[in-house]
Amino acid sequence: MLESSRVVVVGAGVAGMSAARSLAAAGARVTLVEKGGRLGGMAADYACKGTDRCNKCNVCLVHELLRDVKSRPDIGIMTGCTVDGVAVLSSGGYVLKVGGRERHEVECSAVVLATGFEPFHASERPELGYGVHPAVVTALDLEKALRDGRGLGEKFGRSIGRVAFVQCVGSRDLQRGRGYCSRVCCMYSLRMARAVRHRNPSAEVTVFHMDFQGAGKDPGDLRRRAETEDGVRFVRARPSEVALAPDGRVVVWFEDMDGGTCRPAEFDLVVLAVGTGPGRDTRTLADMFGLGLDEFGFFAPADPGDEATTGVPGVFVAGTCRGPRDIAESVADGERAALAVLREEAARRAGQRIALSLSAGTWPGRRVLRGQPETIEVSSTVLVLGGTVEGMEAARTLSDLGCRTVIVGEETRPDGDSGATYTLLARVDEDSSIDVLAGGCLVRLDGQAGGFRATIEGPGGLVSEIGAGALIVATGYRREFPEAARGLAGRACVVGLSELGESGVPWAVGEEHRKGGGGRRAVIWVGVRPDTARAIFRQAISAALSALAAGWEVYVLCPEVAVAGTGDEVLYLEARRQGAVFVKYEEEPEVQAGSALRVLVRDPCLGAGGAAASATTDVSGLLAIDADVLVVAEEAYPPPDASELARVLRVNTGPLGFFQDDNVNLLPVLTNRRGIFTIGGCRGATGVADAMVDAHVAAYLAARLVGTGNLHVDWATARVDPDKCALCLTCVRTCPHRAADVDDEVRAARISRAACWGCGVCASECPGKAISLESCSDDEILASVAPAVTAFCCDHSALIAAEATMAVLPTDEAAGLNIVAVPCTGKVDIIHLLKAFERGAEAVMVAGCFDEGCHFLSGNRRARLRVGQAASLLKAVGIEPERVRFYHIGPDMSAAFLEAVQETMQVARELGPVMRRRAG
Amino acid sequence: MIVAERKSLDEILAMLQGCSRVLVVGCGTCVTVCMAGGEKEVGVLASLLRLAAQREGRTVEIGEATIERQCEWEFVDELAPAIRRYDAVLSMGCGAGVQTIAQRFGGVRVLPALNTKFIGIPEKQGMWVEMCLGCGDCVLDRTGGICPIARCSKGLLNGPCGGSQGGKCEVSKDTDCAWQLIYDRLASLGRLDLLETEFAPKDWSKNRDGGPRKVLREEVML
Ligand SMILES: Cc1cc2nc3c(=O)[nH]c(=O)nc-3n(C[C@H](O)[C@H](O)[C@H](O)COP(=O)(O)OP(=O)(O)OC[C@H]3O[C@@H](n4cnc5c(N)ncnc54)[C@H](O)[C@@H]3O)c2cc1C
Ligand code: SF4
Ligand code: SF4
Ligand code: SF4
Ligand code: SF4
Ligand code: SF4
Repeated sequence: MLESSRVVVVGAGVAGMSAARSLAAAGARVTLVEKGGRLGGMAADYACKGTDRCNKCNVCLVHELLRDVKSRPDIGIMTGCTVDGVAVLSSGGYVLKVGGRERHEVECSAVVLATGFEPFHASERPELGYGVHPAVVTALDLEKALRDGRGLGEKFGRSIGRVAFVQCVGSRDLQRGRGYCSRVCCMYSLRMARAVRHRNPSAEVTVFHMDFQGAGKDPGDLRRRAETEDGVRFVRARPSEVALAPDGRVVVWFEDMDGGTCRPAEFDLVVLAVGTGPGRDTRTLADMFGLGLDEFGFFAPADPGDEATTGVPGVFVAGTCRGPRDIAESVADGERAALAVLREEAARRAGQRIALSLSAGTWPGRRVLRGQPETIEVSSTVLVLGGTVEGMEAARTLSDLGCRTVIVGEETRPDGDSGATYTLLARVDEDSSIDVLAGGCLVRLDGQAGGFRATIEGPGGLVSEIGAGALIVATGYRREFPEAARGLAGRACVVGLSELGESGVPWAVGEEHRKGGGGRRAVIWVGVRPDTARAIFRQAISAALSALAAGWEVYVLCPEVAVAGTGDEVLYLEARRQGAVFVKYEEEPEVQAGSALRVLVRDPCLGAGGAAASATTDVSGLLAIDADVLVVAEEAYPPPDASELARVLRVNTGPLGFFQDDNVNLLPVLTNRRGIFTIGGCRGATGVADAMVDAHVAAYLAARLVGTGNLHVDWATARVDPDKCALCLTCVRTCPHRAADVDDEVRAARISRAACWGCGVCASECPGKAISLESCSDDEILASVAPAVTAFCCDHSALIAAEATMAVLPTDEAAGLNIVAVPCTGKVDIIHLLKAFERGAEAVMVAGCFDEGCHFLSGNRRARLRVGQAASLLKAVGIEPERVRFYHIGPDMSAAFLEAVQETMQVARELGPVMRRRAG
Repeated sequence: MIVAERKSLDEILAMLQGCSRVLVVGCGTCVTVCMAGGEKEVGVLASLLRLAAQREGRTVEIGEATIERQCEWEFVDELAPAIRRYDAVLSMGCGAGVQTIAQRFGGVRVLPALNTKFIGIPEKQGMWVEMCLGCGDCVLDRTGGICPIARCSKGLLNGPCGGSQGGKCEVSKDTDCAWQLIYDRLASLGRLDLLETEFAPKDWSKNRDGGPRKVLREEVML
C-alpha cells in the first residue's frame, strides 16, 4: 500500500539509514536527505575497536548499512541538502522544500527526522585544557586516530605511556543545562581503552568516572576484561582541571575519594569522553514541524509508549535526535520509526490492514549475494511464546500489521501490575486475530522460517500442533534477590523492590515493623549487574521518591548510580535534593537482622566521619544504618526452563543464559535463526520501555518476513545435492543459523531457502561435497585464484577494508595480490587453500571478522580451524606452514589490511618460491 | 558405521614411490560420514599429492573419483573405464573397499590411504568412539546395552576389574569404565539381578575361529 507514497528521511546517520532501508523494504519510495557531503553520520568516522576479539562497539554495522542503502535503487539519496520549509497538503501529506546546491520540492506522505546529535564542544570546559594542551584530545579525535591505524603515539606526536580518560565531559552537568547521562561514553571509553592497550601494550590506562553505565551486550564482561586483561584502572572522581606539566605532559587534578583533597596525576595523553547533545537543527526543525522538545532540547515523544511518534501526523523521529543512544539502539529506532509510519498509514485508511510487500535481501545487517528468485508460500501466523506485556504488545502490533497471532503461555507480569497491563490484556482479549493458548508449553519445533510446526503441550497433557511462519519468544525473566542478598529473602522487614510495584509504594510494609517513635528509615539496596542496572535503578529511584514523599528517610546502596535512561539523572538528582543518601559501595553491605534491622556499609566517598544523616552511627569507618525496612532490588535471571526452550528452538543463548546471542551483528531482537525473534525480559531487557521497543521491532520484522503469506527469496542460499548426501548431519550440526535439517522423504539433508543466510559454512564443511552455495561455488571461487599472494576476504569486513587499500596500493604490490571475495571466511574450504598453492600462490591469507564478531556467528572460527589444518597439511608435504595465515580485519581497518598484506608478501619473499624447480 | 582415519602423508608418499599416475578413490558411505574418505578428503589428498610432487619438481597425474560404496561390485565397476590409465589406485575406503577394488581389477595396484579403525559412532561432531567389535555373539541383552567386549579395555565379561576408579578405567582417565556404566545402567533399569549370573567363558569360535567369517542366506540369494 505504500507503493505510491513517498517517505522522506531527514539525516543519514545510522538511524536514518536504518529507517530508509526498512521503509524501502516495505515497499515505500524513500528519499534520504542528508546535510553533509556523505552518508553515515557521526559513526561513519569511528574505528572498529576489535582487539583479538570483537569488543562489540557495533561500528561495523554502520558499514553494512552504508552498503545496503547505497545499493538500493528504491532509496533516492540527496546529500548536501537540508529541509528548510514545509507546506501541508490537503491530502494530509507534505511538500518539503529541500535546499542545497539546488532547490527541490519533494512531496511525501510522511517524514522521519533522524538528524542526530551534536557532540559536546570540549572547549566549553576550558579548565580541561582542550585546544590548549596538545596532550588533551577528545574521544572523537581518538576514534579518528584509531581509525587511521599506525601508531597512536605517532599520530598524537607523543609517547602514550600513561593515558587518562575523563568521563562525563558535557554530560550529567546541570550547570551547563546538560543534566542527563549521554549513555554511550562509558562503553566507548572502555572499548577504546582496550583498543589503545592492544596497539600499545605498555600503555597504562586510567578512567576517571562517576559511575559506570553499562549498555549493550554483556557490559559486565567487557569491564572485567578491561580490568583484568588490560589492567585498566577505574578511579571514581570527576577531575576539576587538566594543567600543563613542565615536561610537556599534563596533570589531571582530581578530588581524592577519602578526604576530599585535590590530588594530581601525570599523563601523556588525556582523552575527554565528550557527551552527546541535541543536534544543531533540532530546534529549527521542531519549529518548522510544530514538534515538542524536552527540557534538554531533544525531540520529545508525544506518546511515551511509542516514542517514534511526535503527535504531529506524518512526522516521526528516530535516533539520537530524540535522546542519547548507541548505534544498535539507533538502528532499532530506525526500524521502529518505519513501523510507526506504516501503522499510521494503515490507521489513515481505517479498517484496512497494512499490506506489506517484502522485497528480498533486506534483512537487517546482511548484505547478500544474489540467488535464483523464488516466491515461497509461508504462513502469516506468528506464534508468541509467553503472555508477558511485551508478548501481548507484539501480538497487538502484529494484529495491526495484518498477521494472526497465537499467544502460548501463562500471562506473566514480573514488574508488578500496572494499569497499562490491564488495558493491554483487554485489547488482546477482544482482538479476533489473537488467539491465546493459556498454560501451553512448546515441546518441539519442526520446520523453518515461514513454515514452522510447533508442538504445544497444553494443560492436562493435551498435545496440539500449530503452524506458524515466525516465532516471537517473550517468556520474560525471573526475579530473585542478587547473590549477596540471597539469604535475606523472606525475613521480616525485608521486601523485594518489585513487590512495591511501580507506583503507589505500599510503604506500610515498614510501618508494621516500626519500632515506635522517631523517623521512619528505609534502605534500598540495588546490587544488580550493569546490564540490568538501568531499568532496575529507575524503579529504585521511583520507590525512593515515593518513600521520601511519605516522609521517610531514605538510603540507597549501590555499586553504581545507573542513570543512563532518559530522564533518570533528573530523577536521581531530585531524590538527592529531597534528602535521599546514595552510598556507592565497593564491598557488599552487611545486614544484621536481629530484633532490629541494621545495615553496615562502607562508603568510600565519605570516609570516616562523613556520615551525612543523623540516623547513622559511625563504627570504624562504616556507616551503620538502623532501618525500619530494607528494600532489596531483585536481579533478573533467565527463567528456569530457558535452556530447555533454547534447545527446542535451536537458538543460541548468551553468557548469562538469556535469549540473547552475544554476537554484535544480531540486532537485539534477532536470534541466530531467521524467523525466531526474542524480546523483553527473556533476552535480558528488563525495563518496560526497552521491552516495548523490542515488541514493536520484532513484530515489524516478523510481519515483514511472513506478513503477506509470500516470502520472496532472491538471496543466494546453499543447496544440497541429495544424490551426494551421505546424511552425515555435519551441515545440520554446523550451520550457525540452523537452516539445515533432514528431509525424511528424500533421505538427505535439506536446506531451507527461507532460513539460510548464505554464509557457505555448510558447503565448506560437507565431507561429501554435496552442498554448494549459489553464486559462490567452488569452481567460481577457484576461477578467481591467480598465481599471486592470495587473500580470501570476508565480504563484511576485510573486503571493505581491502577495497580501500587497493585504491592506494602501489601498482607493483597490487599486481602481486589476488583478492578473492567470499561471503564469510567460513566459506573458505580447506580445498581452496590447498588449490591456491597448486595454482601457484606463494602465500595465502584469510582475512575476516574478529572473534565473536563474525557476521555469521561462527564462520570465522571455522575458518581459523581450516587455516590451522592447512598449515599442518602443507607442512606434511614440505611447504612452510607460515605461508598460510589468518588475520582479523575490521571493515574500516584498511591500514591494518595493508600491513597484513605486506607481512604476508614479506613472508613469501623470505621463504622463496614454493615450487623449487618451477622457479628455476 | 565403520570409522577410519587417514594414514600419515609420509606413509602414503612412501607407498606411492615411483608412481606418477595415481587415482584417488573415495567412498560415499561410512568414510564420508566419518570424514576420512569422502569426496572432500579425496580432493584434499589429491591436492596434497600434487603439491608434494610439484615441490620436488616431479610431474604427476592425480585423478579423483568418489563412488557410492567401494564394497559393492556394481559401484566399483564405475571405475572400470579409467582405472587402467593409472599406476596405482589409492583407496580412501575401509579395508573392505580396498580389497573389493583389488579383487575386481586384477593387475591393478590398489593401496590403502586409510587405517580402518572400528565400528563406532560420532560421540560428538569430530570425535568418534568404538562401540562394537563384531564378536559374532552379541551379549548386549545381559549388559544393559553396553558392550563389555568393545568398551571394557580388557574385554572382561565378568567385570569390573580392580582398576576401576571413580567410574574411570585405569588405562586412561578419559576412558569410562564399561563395567561401571553397565552397573549404573542395570541399576537404573532395576535389573542388577542380571549381574548375579556369571558369564561363561566366551565362545570365540564365533569370532575369528575358522578363518574369515561368512554370512549366508539362501532365501535372498539369486
Ligand atoms: C565520541 C563518541 C564515540 C561513540 N562511539 C560509539 C561506539 O563505539 N558504539 C556505539 O554504539 N555508539 C557510539 N557512539 C554513539 C553514536 O555516535 C550514535 O549512537 C550514532 O551516531 C547515532 O546515529 P544517528 O543516526 O542518531 O545520528 P548521527 O550519527 O548524528 O547522524 C545524523 C545525521 O543527520 C544529518 N543531519 C543533521 N541535521 C540535518 C538536517 N537538518 N538535514 C539533513 N541532515 C541532517 C547529519 O549530518 C548526520 O549525517 C559514540 C558517540 C560519541 C560522541
Ligand atoms: S567487529 Fe564490529 S563490533 Fe566488533 S569491535 Fe569491530 S567494529 Fe566493533
Ligand atoms: S554435510 Fe553433506 S553429506 Fe553431510 S548431511 Fe549435510 S549435505 Fe549430507
Ligand atoms: S551454513 Fe550458512 S549457507 Fe549453509 S545452510 Fe547454514 S546459513 Fe545457509
Ligand atoms: S567400503 Fe567400507 S567405508 Fe565404504 S561403504 Fe563399504 S564398509 Fe563403508
Ligand atoms: S557383544 Fe560383540 S557383537 Fe555384540 S555389540 Fe558387542 S562387539 Fe558387537
